[in-house]
Amino acid sequence: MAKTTDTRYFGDPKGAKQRRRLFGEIEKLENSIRMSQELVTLKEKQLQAKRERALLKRDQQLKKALYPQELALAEPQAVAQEKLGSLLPPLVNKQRLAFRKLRQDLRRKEGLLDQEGRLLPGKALSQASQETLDAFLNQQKAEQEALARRLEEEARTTRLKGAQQEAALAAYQKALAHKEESLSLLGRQMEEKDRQQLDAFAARQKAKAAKQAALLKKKQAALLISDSHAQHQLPEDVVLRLDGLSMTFGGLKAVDDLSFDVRKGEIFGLIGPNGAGKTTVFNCITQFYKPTSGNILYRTREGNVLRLNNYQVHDIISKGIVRTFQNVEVIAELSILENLLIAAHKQFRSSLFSQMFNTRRVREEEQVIRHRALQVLDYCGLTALKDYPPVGQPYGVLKRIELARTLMAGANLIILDEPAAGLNDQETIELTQLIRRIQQDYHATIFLVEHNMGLVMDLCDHICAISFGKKLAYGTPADIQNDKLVQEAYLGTNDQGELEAV
Amino acid sequence: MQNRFERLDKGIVKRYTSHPFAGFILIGILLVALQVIAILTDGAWPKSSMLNGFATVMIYAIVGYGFTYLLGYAGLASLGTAGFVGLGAYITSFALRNLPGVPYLAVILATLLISLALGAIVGFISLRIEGIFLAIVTLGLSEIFYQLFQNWLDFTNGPNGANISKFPIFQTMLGMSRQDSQRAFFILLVLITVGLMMLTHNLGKSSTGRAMLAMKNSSSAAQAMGISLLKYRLLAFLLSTAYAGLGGVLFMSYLRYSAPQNYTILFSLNILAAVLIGGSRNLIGTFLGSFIVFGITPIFLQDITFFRENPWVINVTIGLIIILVVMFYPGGLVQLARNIKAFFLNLLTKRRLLAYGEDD
Repeated sequence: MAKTTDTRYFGDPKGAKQRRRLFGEIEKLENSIRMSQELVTLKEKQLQAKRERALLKRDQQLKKALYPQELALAEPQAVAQEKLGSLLPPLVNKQRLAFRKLRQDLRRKEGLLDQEGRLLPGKALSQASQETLDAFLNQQKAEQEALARRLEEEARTTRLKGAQQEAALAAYQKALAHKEESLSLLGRQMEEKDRQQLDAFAARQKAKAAKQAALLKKKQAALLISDSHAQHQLPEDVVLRLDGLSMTFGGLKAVDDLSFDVRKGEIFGLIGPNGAGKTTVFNCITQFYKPTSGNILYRTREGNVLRLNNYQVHDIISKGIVRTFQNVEVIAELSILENLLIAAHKQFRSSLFSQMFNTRRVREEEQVIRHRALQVLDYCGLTALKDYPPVGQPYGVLKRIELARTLMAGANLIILDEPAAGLNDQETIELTQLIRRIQQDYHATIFLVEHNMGLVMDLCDHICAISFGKKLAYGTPADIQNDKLVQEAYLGTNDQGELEAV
Repeated sequence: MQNRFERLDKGIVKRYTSHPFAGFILIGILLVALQVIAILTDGAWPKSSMLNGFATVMIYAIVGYGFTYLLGYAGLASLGTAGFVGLGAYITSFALRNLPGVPYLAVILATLLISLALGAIVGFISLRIEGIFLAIVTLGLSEIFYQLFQNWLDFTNGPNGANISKFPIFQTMLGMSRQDSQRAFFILLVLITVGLMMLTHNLGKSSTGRAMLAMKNSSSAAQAMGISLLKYRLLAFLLSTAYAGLGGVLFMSYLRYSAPQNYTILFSLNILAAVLIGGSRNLIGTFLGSFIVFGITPIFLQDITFFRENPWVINVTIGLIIILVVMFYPGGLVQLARNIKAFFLNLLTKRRLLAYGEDD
């Protein structure tokens, strides 16, 4: 059973502050170690891509040099075809424009056009004009054929003969073999060079990671020693525990002595009528509001137990708790990809000055995190939209961006505030599937507030119902559906049939 | 024909012009070219008043870049820019007059440190609260600075204005003539301007710039994503004060004179206007905005008698431009440029339609 001590405001016991600092440092080190590992794989990919590009370019250069020889050896028809391929498109283009101009002039003469030059609806050219146009088309076709004939004739006359032909063929084949050989040699050389570079890079990163790992071990040992200072305890399978949580605004008790547990890996639903204080609970957990009283205990992915009351709102995400918002908060001035990078904000460790000078470390960091973001976008099916701003995207996409953001932040506990609000049925189904997938693939615990009872009953493992800040019931969806208090709170009657209709 | 080759890379021109720094370097080259022409023609054209005008534009553009962080990225507005520019200018004049042994770089560093310290205090007080408070606090600060510049005679020489006799570095250390040092300092200014454009661009594209933008767009999302509002607001404010302080140092070093009436609230508003006109996050736009607000008068209109006798006409015109830009082009000159491009493209398609009819 992991324990923690951290009471920032009242009677901070000796060692608690140090313990919090240790948590922060361990986070940093782990992040950095992960980063250097990813950097090596990314570097390998990049080197390979670069090598392939360079080889392709070299190949094209060599081909370009061989092209005239090849042209001289080919069959006349083939040569003519080849030349036609480059000469015909511009000719066709020119002819097409000439044809359109003639047609436009004819139409104008017959008064078939409006002021902007568009054909008036339901009008057509007269018979005589149509014939002129047809004749023009035929003439153009003849021009094209003449060009093809001329080219073939040329190719036939300039074709090499007899001994000349054989000599040229031999030279060509030799050159071709030489080209292949030089290409493969170049490929091997580059591969060798890249491998050396990569090895050196990997060794450097490994040394860095090893150093950090040693430091990490030390910190973890220190954390274990300070374990005796820990005050708060959670059972092994509980991720989040609300313990007597109260939140008062002036005289209004928005949340009143609320306690429940969220288990590891489950989907937990919080329901209640409008104004029951659901969003306030979320805001208390994520420290947007400081709870008036009560504890919020949370177990990180590593198993440390934290009292969230002691953290500030912008520290919460680095503990692995990420939330979405009831009325979708995306950053309108950034692209969708950059919106994801915002979620990874805590993973950027480089200093202000290195960012100003865009040093290598900054570029590497950016590369790794961008790569992660692309993977997450791919997972959420947003890759095609990555460079667009989120403004004007449908609501379903915005919700998915928010979900992608929670993944990007490496969430352990995902808090969803009305994920299905404003979605149509199809979008809701897709979102439900995505939430389920996330729960399985990322081993995340999901805690949601939702008004769509169908979705809640379908998704959740456990549900807590609240009304006016007080807990009404806690249990599985079936328990909640049959709970008298819940029915009363929602409907104000004891009619069971109506609730099921809801 | 199995050996057909194709062109893989885009042209060299395209590769270089698509680089984000291309525009900055172009501006730098044009400005250096002006100075080179002046040297070649021995000051016949451009006149030194015109070059001074461009120097002023550059210095105020630097101040504007600092303001870009505040307005364009963090979404805050400060009215205390004038005070910090003045502070930089007066510290420079004080140090260069009274402490002759101090190197110029130390003066710059000292100015930056003092501006940052003051900025930190002001920011820490005013940035904890949402909204307009920074503007109000800095408005008060600006007035305090103004009174200080007017009345602290030992430090600022009061309403008569402070001056320094020699150009730093070039005249004092390298012993160049006055004219040569002025020319050299102009080129140094161009280098600093272009360099700061690049640094500002880099920071804007980095995680810091994104964090500030996130904060501007949605403070709750930013907080939930781990962005500390106070930290990044303070950072934006401090960057803007540092740029302003540097602007002050350069102003004093190049123009060698400054009086308290330069640093009224009007100056802060002019900087705000320059950044707004340019399109609050675009650096080339900020440069153009600063050119419109600060440059047109000394560079072109000074020689025309009508404008010299009726300076209010220019102010009214600038006021009108600001109103029009804010009303119709909230994205600034950049948006205007984009619209003009779209307009010409549209015109082209229309003419095509008239001549050739609809495509089928």
